[in-house]
Amino acid sequence: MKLYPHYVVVGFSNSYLISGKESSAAVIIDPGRFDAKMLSLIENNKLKICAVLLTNSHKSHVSGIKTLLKIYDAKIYCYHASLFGIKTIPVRDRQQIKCGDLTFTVIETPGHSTDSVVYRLGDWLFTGDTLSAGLTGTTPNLQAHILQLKKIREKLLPLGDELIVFPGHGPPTRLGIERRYNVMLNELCPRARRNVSFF
Amino acid sequence: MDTLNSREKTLCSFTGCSQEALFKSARCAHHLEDIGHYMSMLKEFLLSTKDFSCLNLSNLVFSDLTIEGKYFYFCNLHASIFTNCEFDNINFQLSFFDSCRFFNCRFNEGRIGWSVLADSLFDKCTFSKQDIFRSNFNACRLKHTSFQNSSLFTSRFIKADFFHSEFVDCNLLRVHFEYAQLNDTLFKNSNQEEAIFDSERIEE
Repeated sequence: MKLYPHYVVVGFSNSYLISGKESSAAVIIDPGRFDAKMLSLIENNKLKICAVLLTNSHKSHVSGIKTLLKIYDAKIYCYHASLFGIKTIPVRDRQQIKCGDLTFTVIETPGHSTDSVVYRLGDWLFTGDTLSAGLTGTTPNLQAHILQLKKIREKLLPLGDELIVFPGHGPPTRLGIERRYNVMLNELCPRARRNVSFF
Repeated sequence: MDTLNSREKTLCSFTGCSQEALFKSARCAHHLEDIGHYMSMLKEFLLSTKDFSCLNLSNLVFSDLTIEGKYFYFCNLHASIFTNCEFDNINFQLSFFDSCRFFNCRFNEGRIGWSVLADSLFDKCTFSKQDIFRSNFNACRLKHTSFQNSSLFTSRFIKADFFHSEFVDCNLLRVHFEYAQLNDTLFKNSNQEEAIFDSERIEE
């Protein structure tokens, strides 16, 4: 597998282009913007975009979709059945998505938004806004925050300390580092209290 | 933009060990039979080769090492110890230095991108003219450590513990310092107003 992390100006977010070992089939996760850099990367490596995976439908993760679809005939996978009037393939917990020799597993983690999901590919986790280095996603209310923490603790942390987390914003991290040091996971800290609109 | 090739993991051949084997070895650092021989072989390799990718060099001890003009790519140096090491014009991309210890090390005119240095200790270290991008220094302990004339754009120092350290002439745009202990830490000629401290809330 090859991974091309890409910094997106929209919302200071991350896009990831992943290609398989054996085929030219490739996947884009969260195209917050589809720019010339991403285009040349795909073309220079002779990749064929077969799928776009969305971790949530917020602007900083999806703004590049319309441009991308003008160039490539890719399937869009997200929690909802449509996005901006574009028909998508809805994903659900434990669903597997295959693209060439890449197989992603969907992990539903609602909280930051009702449609938040994480994609696992081997030892890599693409966590979108659910979990980033030292932080968790902002949430609309206290219940959503508690739900997000529950999903992270129950579904992500048990996967193993060595797993590499590629978040939707900020630098990568390891799951073990987050388990030990992410203040948002360990208690309802002041930042977490500000993180919800309830307070 | 950088490429990451997933590493093919080989487990340590020592019975019952679940650690990944080191580069060019059948065993992990804890079960090496002749660590001295391995380190001299490795030192020679590091000095004679320019590009490194997907190496596992975790739990090793490096001392008095000076390397220049190298490119490290998706290398795992987890829990290694570096003493009196000098890294000149070194490009570390997608590399993992989590839970490492750096004593009296210097990083000069190089790049650190998309890398994880979280939970590490930096004691009397200097980062000079470094382009540090999207790198993770969360929960680090930094003592008498200096960042000079460097960009740390969108890097994170969340819950880091600073002691007598400094940022001089640094770009701190979108650098996170939430829950960091900034004891006697100096920000000089740096845009700390564009960094993110505890009092702010980020909408992402």
